[in-house]
Amino acid sequence: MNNYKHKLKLLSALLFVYIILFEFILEHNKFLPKPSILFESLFQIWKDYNLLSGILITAGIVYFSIVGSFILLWLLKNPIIKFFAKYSCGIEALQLFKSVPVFMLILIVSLWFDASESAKSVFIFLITFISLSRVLAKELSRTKKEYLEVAQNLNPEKLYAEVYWKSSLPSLLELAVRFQRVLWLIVLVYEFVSMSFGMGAIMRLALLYQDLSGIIIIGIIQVLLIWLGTVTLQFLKKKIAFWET
Amino acid sequence: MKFENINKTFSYKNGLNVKLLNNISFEINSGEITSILASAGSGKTTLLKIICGLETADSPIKQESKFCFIPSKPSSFPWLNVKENILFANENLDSVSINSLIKAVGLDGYENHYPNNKSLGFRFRISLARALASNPKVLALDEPFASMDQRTKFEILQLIVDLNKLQKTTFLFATSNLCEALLVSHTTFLMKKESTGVLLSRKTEYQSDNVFERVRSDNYSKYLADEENLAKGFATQQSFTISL
Repeated sequence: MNNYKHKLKLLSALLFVYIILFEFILEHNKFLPKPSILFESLFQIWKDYNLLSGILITAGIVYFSIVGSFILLWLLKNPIIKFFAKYSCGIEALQLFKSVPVFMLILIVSLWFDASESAKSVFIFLITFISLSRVLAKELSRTKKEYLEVAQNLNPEKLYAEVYWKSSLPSLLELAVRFQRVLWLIVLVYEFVSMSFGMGAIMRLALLYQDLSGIIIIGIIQVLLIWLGTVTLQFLKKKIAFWET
Repeated sequence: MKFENINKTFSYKNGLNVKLLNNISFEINSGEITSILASAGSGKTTLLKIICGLETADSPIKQESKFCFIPSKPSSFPWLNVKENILFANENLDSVSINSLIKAVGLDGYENHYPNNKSLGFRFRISLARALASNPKVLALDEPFASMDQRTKFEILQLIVDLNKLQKTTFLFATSNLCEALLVSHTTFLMKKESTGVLLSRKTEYQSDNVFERVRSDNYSKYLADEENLAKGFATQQSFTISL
């Protein structure tokens, strides 16, 4: 709570400095717009760029991918965990994805499918699912030996779906919280490059029109959405995986 | 319950073979507490795991009855509460049996508590109740007191004595601590590094069911003070009895 108060104080101080500096002292500059202009253009941008649809599409893809991948992983946990527990080479193969440059993949998929919305959705979903699977695979090898021994001894049927899964769940959800920020960036870059509709494409338009106020406002909205997403996911993590392993 | 000629060799990638257990034989009496006393690295945990079916011996041993293993580190599942931890071992238990198990290990009133942030003693009691829920023939405890403070250790030792007395639970526990073995075990087997053949044993007869009274008895301090002779006794005699 103190941390939040501290951040809020810092933010208010920066805002105050910005208002004083750019509203009254540096009125004409090419770095930052006047606060009053920024405020006026907020409503204009909403209409001109069809911002609401853009927000819904981009945020929808980000959170649908996270929630969908998580549900799919939960549904397939038994065969997936059994596979990784049996074939450690599968874990190593999955870790290779960490080194694949996502930007290159974005360019390739954009070249293949142009501005296709469905291609974007499938691509982002796959990136999320593979990343979550990679963490799950890594966490399986970290499952406490004593939990595994007890499960093998008392109830081997629950070894995969219960012990391995529940042991990995806190880390998996922790990754979902952190990965959300990365995923926002990936989706924005994808939309920016391929010009498929969303906040990334809107930012490209704002850049083409050299609309500095627009870029800043869209940026602020993104920050707020990511913050809201982080708070929601952290709340869900505390509810779903309240334990520490 | 007799175990004969247990061998275990570990083979490493560099071609090195280490024989940890060499033709180990010993016997557990039903309804008694038996200890395997050994220093670190002698293979007592491996021996317990083999008996419980968690490790394979060089030539597999016959597993006729249910042996339940409780590891040395806390093993109660943090995502399950006390009741759910017990149900993990046996889903068919009715609420009366669950409650009697909870009461037996001294956790009544804590049915819905989670092991997170609880003491080692609390978590050990959950592990004990969960193991008992599976109706094991023998409960194998691997150095259960290794990281417990003295007070908790004595409380748990008393719990083991009580469970053994009231429910006739057979315990087999591995320890490197002579006091622990001396205080609760009807039979103690000494296992040294590179032990071969039948393990040397010592019987203990107890005058009291109270662990604290056993500690206060003159014989306890006498035997501990005379640890050197005790070790000699192990070394020279196949089996001998002490009274506590």
